Amino acid sequence: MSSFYPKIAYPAAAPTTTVTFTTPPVKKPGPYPTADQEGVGAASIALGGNKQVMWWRTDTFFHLIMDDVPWADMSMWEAFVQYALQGGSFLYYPDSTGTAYDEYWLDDSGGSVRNQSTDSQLDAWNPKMSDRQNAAFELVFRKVPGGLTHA
Amino acid sequence: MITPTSAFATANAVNQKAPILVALLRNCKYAFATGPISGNPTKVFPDLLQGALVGAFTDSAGNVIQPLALGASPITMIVPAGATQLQLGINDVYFGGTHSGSFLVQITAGGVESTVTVQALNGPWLFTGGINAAFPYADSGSIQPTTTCIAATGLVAGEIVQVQYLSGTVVLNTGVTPPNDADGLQPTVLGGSAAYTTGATINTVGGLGHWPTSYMGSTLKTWLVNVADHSTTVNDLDGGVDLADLNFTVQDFQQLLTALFPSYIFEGQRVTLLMGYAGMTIDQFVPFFTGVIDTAANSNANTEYVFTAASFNAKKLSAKIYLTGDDGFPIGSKHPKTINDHPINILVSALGLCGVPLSSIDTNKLYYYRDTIFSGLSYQFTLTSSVTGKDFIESELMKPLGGYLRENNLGFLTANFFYPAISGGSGTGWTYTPPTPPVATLDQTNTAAMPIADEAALIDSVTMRFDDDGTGNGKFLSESTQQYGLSIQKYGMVGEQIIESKGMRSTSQGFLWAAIIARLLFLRYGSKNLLLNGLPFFWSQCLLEPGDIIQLTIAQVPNRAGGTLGVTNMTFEVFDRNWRFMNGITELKLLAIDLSKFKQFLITPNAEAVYASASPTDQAKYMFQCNAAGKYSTGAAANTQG
Repeated sequence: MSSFYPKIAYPAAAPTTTVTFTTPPVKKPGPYPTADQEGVGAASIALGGNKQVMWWRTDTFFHLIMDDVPWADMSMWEAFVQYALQGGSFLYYPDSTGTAYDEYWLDDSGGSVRNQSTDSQLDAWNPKMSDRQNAAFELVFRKVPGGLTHA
Repeated sequence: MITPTSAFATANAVNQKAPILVALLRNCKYAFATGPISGNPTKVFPDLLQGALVGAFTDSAGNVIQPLALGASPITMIVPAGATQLQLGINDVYFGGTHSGSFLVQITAGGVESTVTVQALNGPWLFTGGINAAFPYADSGSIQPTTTCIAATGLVAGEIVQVQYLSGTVVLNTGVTPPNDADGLQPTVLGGSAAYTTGATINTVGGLGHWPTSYMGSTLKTWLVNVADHSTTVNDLDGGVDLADLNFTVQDFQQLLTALFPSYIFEGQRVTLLMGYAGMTIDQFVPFFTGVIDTAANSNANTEYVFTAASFNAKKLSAKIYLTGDDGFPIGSKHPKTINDHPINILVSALGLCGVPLSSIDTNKLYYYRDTIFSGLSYQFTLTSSVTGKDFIESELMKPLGGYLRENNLGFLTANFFYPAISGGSGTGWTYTPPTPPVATLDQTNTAAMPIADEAALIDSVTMRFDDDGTGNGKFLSESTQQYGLSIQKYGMVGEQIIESKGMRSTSQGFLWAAIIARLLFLRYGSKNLLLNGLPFFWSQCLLEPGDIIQLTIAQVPNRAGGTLGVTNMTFEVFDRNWRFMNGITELKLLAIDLSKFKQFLITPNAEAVYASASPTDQAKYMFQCNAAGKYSTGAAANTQG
């Protein structure tokens, strides 16, 4: 296993379980921690063209695209998603051999929900087959504001 | 205009804002914020000042189980495990011999009411026998208290206890500091409002050590999800203002909020909504709303709580007042209640009967009007039935005086009058400096949508009825009808406002004030004045309040008086206000008024020199004799009533 593969450890406060990556995430936009940034607030434009921005916060989302996850790893991923769907936070190590990590929540597990009720569904994880005995799925992590971190 | 801290004013003036809202509930384990506050404080402390009423649940030996921030607001609490008694005292760091006075406090425990007296030298808890080492105060070479007020004993965990400050003041340094009430406010000197600005907190360790309130902080949590729009609606013709409830949503993080319910009663707790910006410390935040929690409802699949908070003092005006006649019997036609006093004194008295503490009344402004503009005025009522405080105050006092009562951001009751206060002053128990108009200049750089010009409802005839015959039949012996001839000629129609005052008397300036109020109404409503309704402005205008005078310049607003498109520095009075906290928009209803037509000059006293020889100050102040053309002997335009 390459030393540059990431890993996930959970629960964040006192990790007891590790998700090891047999294959790395793909289609990364840049070196970690390059991630999606989303400003939360409201913008207004005055009659004269002046712009006001009420900035409440900026959310950071880390997009993980997994294209070739061996079936043998899927029980490990299922356990992780089970945990994360319940709102538990976890640590993402961009290099499994390093000490640097950041704390995240699972924000989007990439699937489509089947429950019809609009106020009781959280999220869905629907992994797909990519090729022979490999799975593919995407996860979006939301960085915990003021969360655990290590350089 | 709401008075900001300088840090708030600076941050609020720019269009790039990073706002933070904080909901602070008294004695709650947590305070709720939308984001972290500069310096990362872990706690927010109660808005109680030095000298305020504080206390503690203790065991029978006086060991502190839970410190309590009490103040002048009624509070209902649940006795925590291990506590058997309630102790009360004063929030101070020096308990030397210069203290005097006391608070009278009502305690309800086990369904039994009692009253206790909290002396100025009582501390909330003591240190005898080495107890309470974890809660030291007055602990830096100061004098610690030797007595406390044990207000209730034999309490059991889970029991409901209510504490209600009734009356009294304490003086912390006799002969030097003024008396203060249970919030620490000093009503007799500063009229309350001047002493209480930004949710002032006392928690730091000073030269005399900790304050008792150092142990009453709420742990700051960033669980505040949303603060709903909040509106204030002015009913100036009816004498009042409707202050909407404040709704805010808090995340039930890890069910920690739900876990509070067995030990904390949200309903009835005092709540303050503070606003600041990133980089500001909590003491630089500004209170935008002060109220009491009414309801706590679940939302978002029970993952959040939506709290509804009602106004703090205005809701007290629903109380019935004047329940007994002059003879002490229940009020009735044979047992009337007579009132004969200045209407401002009657107002303050009526507010007190409704349960509004004097320190929560803007007596600075009210007494300024009493002693200057309304000087010598007297109302005489003969009531034969009790009245609702709000109805009496708005209909019988504010309407005839040409004003409206409103609750401000601090929960204080104040009033705006049509008769503008031009210059301030001071008198017995008051000091007042009116804001210099305009308090804000609005234009296309801070207006977020095109104003649609509307016109105010026409009032060009005002009938004032007064000299109530005292029979309780609603008969008035005097009537004054004023008409605005210019408007009637122009529009050929009449919009009438009728004001009936049971207290106004012709023997006490009744006809004079009927004419003045009519004149002031015509200046607001006599010319189908320009009205801009719900106009959105940038958040920089969030400090504006009803009654503020502003100027507006917008090139696309029709100027009907001038027959051109565009208004330039047109004067408006702020009426309704709607805060859209999450969008950063302040919506205002603006009514165009022309105060230049309303002149305020004094009658020239006997010893005054003739105009040409008078000082420039007096020339501007008095009405000297002028010719028929409105000119003085120097050719200068005369000071006339316009």
